[in-house]
Amino acid sequence: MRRWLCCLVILALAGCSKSSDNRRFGNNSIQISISSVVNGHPLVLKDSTYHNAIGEAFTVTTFRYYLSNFSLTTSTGSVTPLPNTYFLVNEADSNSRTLLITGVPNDAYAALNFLVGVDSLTQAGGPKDGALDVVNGMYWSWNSGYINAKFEGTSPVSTAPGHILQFHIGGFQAPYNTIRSVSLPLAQPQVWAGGAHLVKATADLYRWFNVPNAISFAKFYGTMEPDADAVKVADNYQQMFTITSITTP
Amino acid sequence: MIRKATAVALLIAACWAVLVIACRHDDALVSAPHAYQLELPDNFPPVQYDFSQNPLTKEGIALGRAIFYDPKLSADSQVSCAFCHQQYAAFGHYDHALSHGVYNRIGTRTVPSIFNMIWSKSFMWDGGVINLDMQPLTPLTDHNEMGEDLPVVLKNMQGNAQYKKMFKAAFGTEEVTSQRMFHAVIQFVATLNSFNSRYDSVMAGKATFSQEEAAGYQLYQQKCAACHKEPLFTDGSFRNNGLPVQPALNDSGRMRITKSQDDYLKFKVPSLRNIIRTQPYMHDGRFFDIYNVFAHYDHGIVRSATLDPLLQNGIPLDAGQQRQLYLFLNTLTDYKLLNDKSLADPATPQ
Repeated sequence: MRRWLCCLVILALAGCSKSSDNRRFGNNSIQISISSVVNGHPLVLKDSTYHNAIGEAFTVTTFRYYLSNFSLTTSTGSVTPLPNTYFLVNEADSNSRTLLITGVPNDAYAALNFLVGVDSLTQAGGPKDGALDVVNGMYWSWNSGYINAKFEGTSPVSTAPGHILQFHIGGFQAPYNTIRSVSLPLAQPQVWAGGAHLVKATADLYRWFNVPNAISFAKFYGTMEPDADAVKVADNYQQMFTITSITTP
Repeated sequence: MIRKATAVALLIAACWAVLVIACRHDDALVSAPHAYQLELPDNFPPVQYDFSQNPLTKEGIALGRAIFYDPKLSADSQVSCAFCHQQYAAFGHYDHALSHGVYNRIGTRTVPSIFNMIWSKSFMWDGGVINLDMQPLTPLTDHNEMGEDLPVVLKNMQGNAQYKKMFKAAFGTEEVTSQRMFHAVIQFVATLNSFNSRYDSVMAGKATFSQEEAAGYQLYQQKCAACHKEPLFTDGSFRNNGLPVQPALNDSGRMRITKSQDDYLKFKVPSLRNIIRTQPYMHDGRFFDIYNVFAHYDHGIVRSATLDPLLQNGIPLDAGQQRQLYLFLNTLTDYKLLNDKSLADPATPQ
């Protein structure tokens, strides 16, 4: 009997902590579905060859990045934060390319905002679980902080052993902050009054190497520490997302 | 009849007792872990570690201690945390200039002594780690240290009945996660504190220095205390103390982390507590004797752009002063830390 009581108490407590963690106010949900492309072509890991803006061929073996701290801008210009939104998008795991955010308040919205990378407070903090668990291999042990975005592949012009490309982009402290803030306008202000909203977006890897900093793989095969090169890549990947459609209920 | 009734009553009572004890045993398995109160000295600054994120419990500390002493978590099953952080060397590595890891791999720096870590803001010789809870990740996964992939470490623990029991006792369920593992290790590390040396007794008015120790203390205050600040005997800063560069290692120090030329050859100021037990000295263990250190400060300083301003003229120390300084430094040895059985190797989980 006591054993059952204990179990009940524990279950009740576990239930309490779970619901209070995720409790949000509002009855809209957003499902963000991300497709990866390279300059308009669907991204296929390993087997497909692409070309960067200056015509150098490359393949992609790894494409992973953090998206966090989502918020919505209302039609009056105020910002509604969507707390506890941390996602690790991994090209090799199709489930990870669908992001679900619940508890969004009813309002008229004009833009979807988020960070590429993990906010600095979380980066400097202690161990986390879920998407932020260091077991995911997106954290530097020797120089505290998350790898905000990771691209690996090959290019015949890379001078690295095995012609590899290794872009591990991280760093959250000035002058090497690689967290980037993205704001995607919704085509017209959308009045959300409950229900599930589907946002389709593309992440274009081509833009990592193009504007404002054109990257030549012959000269630069990547970086694996917070440095000036990482900042240049971050300035590029800030441009990689586009909303392609929004379906409202 | 009455006797029979008594016997039945006794039997019922006995059964009840057995049930209660059995239930208690169950309760023990699912009861909350027991809070542990650290006793800290009044004259120390406030701790830097945020205990609210990882409250100490007896069960958490016990788990952390088991992990700390477990060599099976390393790539070759030989190297535990304690392999390099030995209690008798104040949780440094006695007589090893450079860190010694799995498969006899050699690192590039000496093992830091890890006591009083809860007062520290940054970790490693170069301050690359800024949160104590994240520190265990480095030695566990570094190729030259324990050399294991984190998922493998966790998987090995997940398959171990004793660990599962200990995780349950510390965190309520058997689930082994990186977050729980780091928290447990740091709960144990948070108990590795040194403030019970003879120096501390003297400061508390419970003992007195000998004449030469007192003279050594005065010398320390004049010549060393600016960087090795009381009561922690470090100010936690990064400084270039004028060591000639070792070409074989070519270690740029804190510059590796900040990329700033201003940080070239700067390393963290280590604590002088337990110094007589923590040889060899310097970030690369180049000096095996404290007198070599005295000699360096007296006449070995190499001038360079980032040399600490306090060392522009070295630290002149004649033979008599060196002896007095040695005798003072000797009073910083904390035998409670070196001998406390609760910090020693428990039975490793089988």
